[in-house]
Amino acid sequence: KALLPALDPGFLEHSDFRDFYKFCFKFNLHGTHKTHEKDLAINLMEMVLKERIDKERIETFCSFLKTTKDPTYERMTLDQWSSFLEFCVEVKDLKKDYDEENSAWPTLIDDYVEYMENQ
Amino acid sequence: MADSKKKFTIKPFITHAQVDRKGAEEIWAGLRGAIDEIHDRNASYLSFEDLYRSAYNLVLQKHGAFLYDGVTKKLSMQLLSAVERLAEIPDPTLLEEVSNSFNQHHITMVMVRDILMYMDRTYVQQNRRKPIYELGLHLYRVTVWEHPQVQSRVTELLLKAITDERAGLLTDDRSLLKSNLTMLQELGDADDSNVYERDFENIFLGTTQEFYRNESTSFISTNTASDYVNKAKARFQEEKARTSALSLSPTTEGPLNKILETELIERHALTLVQMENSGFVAMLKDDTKIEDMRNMYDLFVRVPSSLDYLRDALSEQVKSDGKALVADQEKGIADAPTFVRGVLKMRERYGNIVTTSFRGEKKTIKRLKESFVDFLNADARAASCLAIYVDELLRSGLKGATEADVAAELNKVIIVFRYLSDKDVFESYYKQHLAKRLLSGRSVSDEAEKSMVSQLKAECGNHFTSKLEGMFKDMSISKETRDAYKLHKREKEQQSRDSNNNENISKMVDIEVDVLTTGYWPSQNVPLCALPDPVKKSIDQFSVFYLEKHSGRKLSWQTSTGTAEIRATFGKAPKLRRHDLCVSTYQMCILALFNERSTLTLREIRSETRIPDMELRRHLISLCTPKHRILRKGSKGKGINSDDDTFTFNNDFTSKLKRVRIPLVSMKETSIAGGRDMAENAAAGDIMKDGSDGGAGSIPGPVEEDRRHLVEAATVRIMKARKSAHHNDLIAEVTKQLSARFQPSPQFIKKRIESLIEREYLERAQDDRRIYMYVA
Repeated sequence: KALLPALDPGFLEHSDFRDFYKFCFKFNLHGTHKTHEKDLAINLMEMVLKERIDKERIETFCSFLKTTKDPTYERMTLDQWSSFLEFCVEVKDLKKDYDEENSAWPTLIDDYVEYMENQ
Repeated sequence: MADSKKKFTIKPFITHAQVDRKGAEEIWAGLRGAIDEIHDRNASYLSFEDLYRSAYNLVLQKHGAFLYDGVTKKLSMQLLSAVERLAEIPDPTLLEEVSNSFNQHHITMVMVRDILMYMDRTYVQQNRRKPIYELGLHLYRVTVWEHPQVQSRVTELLLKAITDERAGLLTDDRSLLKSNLTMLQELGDADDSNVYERDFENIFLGTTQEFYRNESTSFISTNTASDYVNKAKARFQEEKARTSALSLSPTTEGPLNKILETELIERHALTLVQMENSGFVAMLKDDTKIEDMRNMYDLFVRVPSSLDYLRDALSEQVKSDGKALVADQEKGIADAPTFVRGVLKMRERYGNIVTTSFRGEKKTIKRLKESFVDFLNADARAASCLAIYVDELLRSGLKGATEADVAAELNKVIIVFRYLSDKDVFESYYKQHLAKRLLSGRSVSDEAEKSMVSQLKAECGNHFTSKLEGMFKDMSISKETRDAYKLHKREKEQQSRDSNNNENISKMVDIEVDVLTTGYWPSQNVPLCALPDPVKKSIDQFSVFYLEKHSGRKLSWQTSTGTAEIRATFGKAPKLRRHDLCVSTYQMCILALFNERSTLTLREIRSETRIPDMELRRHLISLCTPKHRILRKGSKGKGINSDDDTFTFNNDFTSKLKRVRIPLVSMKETSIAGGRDMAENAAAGDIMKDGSDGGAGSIPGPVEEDRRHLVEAATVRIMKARKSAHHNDLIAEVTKQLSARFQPSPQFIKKRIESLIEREYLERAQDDRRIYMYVA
């Protein structure tokens, strides 16, 4: 855990960072599991993305994850993990830039946006 | 004659004497006089040949212009005196006089033209002058028609005549109007002066428009919609008739119709539809107004855009009627069969309206379908209600019906079935109902069942009905098996008797077995309860028999279904009462316990019979109802309150019947007592009479699971073929492929895609995350 921040040299290009980000997910997998428990994913995400992504986005997303009661979100998949990064980069303004019908964001992110709308 | 040379002499061509100017004038004088005679109707004294030759000579001698101008002048003067006379004619006879005058002129011109035909063909053509006949018309126009005392008065008289006709007043001879109007058209054609349009048509169209605008507005405010429609229809016919009677130019007809359509129909279409009590919307509710509606349709057909109002009205009415039915059903005022009957009746009624009043128009048929689809699928219970209705039909409703009746009734059901978007939900419920009917033998007729299945097959294809057909097959095979088993048992008994081994026989009971193939029937994964010994022995014996014939198969006994007949003895000796009780398998197990003890607690019963709790309560309570109090419940009230509740055999039970059927109480009643979540048992296959299914209109679990599989299978299939696909395209394609069974939401499909990504069937494209790639 303490190792991670040291591993992220801030000068990584976005595409390389993307690979690094995915690596973080895969590296921490236990045994034959392909997904992470929600809490672990939250902590990991906060750590890895701390320097790169807008603080508010991370915070709201993590609090969404914590409060959601949907049983299918108890574990996070690699797809959801990597999509989140793309999402943060592409969609700055949740109201204007988010196009639910035409983009193929995982339903986790659709639900996150809805959660933010209800706030 | 040696030297007689024939000498050809060329004689000079004898020319006629040159006709000089003076000569021309003389010839012309003759012609001029002739024209006068013609005009005065004294033509018979003239020699056509002479006159023709005169004209011919003039033209030949290069006096064509002179002749032409002379004719022009002569005609003009004649016309001038004619018009002076006409100007003095009073209005009442003016039309007739003008008509006559034009007629005369026409006769004159024909003759004059004939005389001057040579000039027409030579001088006129070469010098591009008006041909004689056209010249005559042109002169008529400028001299006669355009005289202020003629033009304005005639126009006014014509228009007035038409106005009078429209007002229903008798008018003079239409032929006069016709001849005057024809004259105008001819005049206009002759010199491209458009007099007809300028002096008549434009004004006519203008006054017509004003007339109909006023008439329609005032009529509609004081009459019913149907009356208006009839009047409008009459006006259309009238104008059409007049157009042909008066020989109005074809160019008038178009604009005239447009005016009628705009003023009579377009302007008032919405009003006609919405008019209180008599508008289209009101007529839709009235069974006697189908003809009137058709009349309105026929009228509106002339202005296709106004038909939208009619279709909208129909659609709204259907939806509102439909929603009312749905509301009744939801509130519980109407049960499922009543609801469906209402829908079927609605379908028939509105179908009839579309066929008759809308003349079966395709657009409206489509609209009708959309409206039904709309309100039926707003509520997820439509599918289950329809299934219940069919169950009712096949249990009792079609009793005694002819084959044709059966087909007709079931066909009506299929029509509504087509409107359902959740067809797979219907299938699931239908299967459950069918299973119950087959197993309890409560089907009204085998033919009716088969008829329904074949109609479903025609509608949805084989795979939909293959399982159903499997169920029928199971039933008939079961019967054969039963017969074989009976034979087998008899033989065994015979053997036993012969060898004096009585023990085994007496301890067994008769059983009738239905052997079902697991895949075909609705699944019941209920564990075995504890059966009484005699029953167990019979079951084992049958199992042995069956498995001998079909080794490799596995039999699992479904104790949650089935019935039993128990002989129970009540009362005290010598006044013993024997009754045969028809009970469920579970009840049999429960009652058997009371052979040993007269009172038992709920806990004891549960542990000894191993019946699942909810079912146990239900079957127990059924044995304690006032009408069928086989057992006496210890606690007060309807429900079972605790595990320590006692049940005692009721020796005082009486019944008029020897054979008593113990009905099962519904799940609802048990839950009043139990207070537990009903959803727990919805999967056990209990179907409610009121169309509810444990959760207001939710999709049954197995169906939901089925849908997930179908979506995933379709997705994989599509991706395998395409290799890559854009998100939207994939969703669209999957939806299309499954639309015959149900309507998956894009969200639902998306979730399945994510699941497939996780299981590595698909992956996102590197450069565009909206594109999926197939993973081989």
